[in-house]
Amino acid sequence: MDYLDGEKERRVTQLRKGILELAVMGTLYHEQHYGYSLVRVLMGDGSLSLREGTVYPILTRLDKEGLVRSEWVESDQGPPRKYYSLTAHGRKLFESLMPEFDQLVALVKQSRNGAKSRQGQPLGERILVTKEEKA
Amino acid sequence: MSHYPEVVEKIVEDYLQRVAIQLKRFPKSDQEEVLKELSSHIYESYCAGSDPDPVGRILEVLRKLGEPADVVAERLHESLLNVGKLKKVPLSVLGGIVVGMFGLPLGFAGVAILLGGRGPAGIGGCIFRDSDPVARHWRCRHGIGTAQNAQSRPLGPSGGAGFHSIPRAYRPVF
Repeated sequence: MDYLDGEKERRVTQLRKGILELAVMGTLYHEQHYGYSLVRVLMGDGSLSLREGTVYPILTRLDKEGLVRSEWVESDQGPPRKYYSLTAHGRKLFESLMPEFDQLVALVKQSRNGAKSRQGQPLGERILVTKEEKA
Repeated sequence: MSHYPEVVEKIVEDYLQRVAIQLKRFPKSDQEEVLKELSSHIYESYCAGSDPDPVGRILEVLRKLGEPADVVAERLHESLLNVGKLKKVPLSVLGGIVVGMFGLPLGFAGVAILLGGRGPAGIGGCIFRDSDPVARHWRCRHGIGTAQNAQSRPLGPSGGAGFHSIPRAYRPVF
């Protein structure tokens, strides 16, 4: 059970890496944010268990790659806030990545539905049906 | 200027200090940037908290942020990639080193073979079909040229007599 948990955690981390980067870009596509406000938007209602510190390395990388620009703005209430926004290059890249992401999501959903519709059938039978359908 | 009650201030300072220790391998500018951004995040998160107990509230903030080691570990990967990029030697420099190490010695070796193998008169002899009997003899002694080829390609009338006076085995090829 521990082994399965470890496997799941590793794969969840892998899945999140790319998707979270896209989510950060998507959020900054619409408006600029400082770190904490961005975390709030991404966490939403709290259903996503995300360590808040995870977002900052992504922002740093996007900043260094020129996809995001950042600037420190003084705050009346506390320490200065670092605001992030998507650069023109970042916006263009995000627009080109979205169709790819949609295709991947559709692919995963499709494969999942396919598996569900043939549940209960033996694997060999499923393969035969697929071959016949193709013919 | 402190933004927290004294006890909370100490907890935050301690947390940031632990992060700073973990950040020692990072460039100085990155260290400052990370600490500044974390300070901002902690303050915003603390202000948004709902726990009436300040200590409970700040501990919840730091728990959600993660252990200092984990916070830094996530950044470490990016930092190492950047360090790797900076240290990457341009291809042209590598090419120069390879040429310097192998190209030049090989080049010298080539010239040495050309000059040493054929001898100074050998080059001239092949090109100009020199009529100097000493040079020709020298080449023949060193096995440059064969008698068979010499027969099939005899010299013109001007050099004919001299050529045929050389023993067959020592006749050079042109």
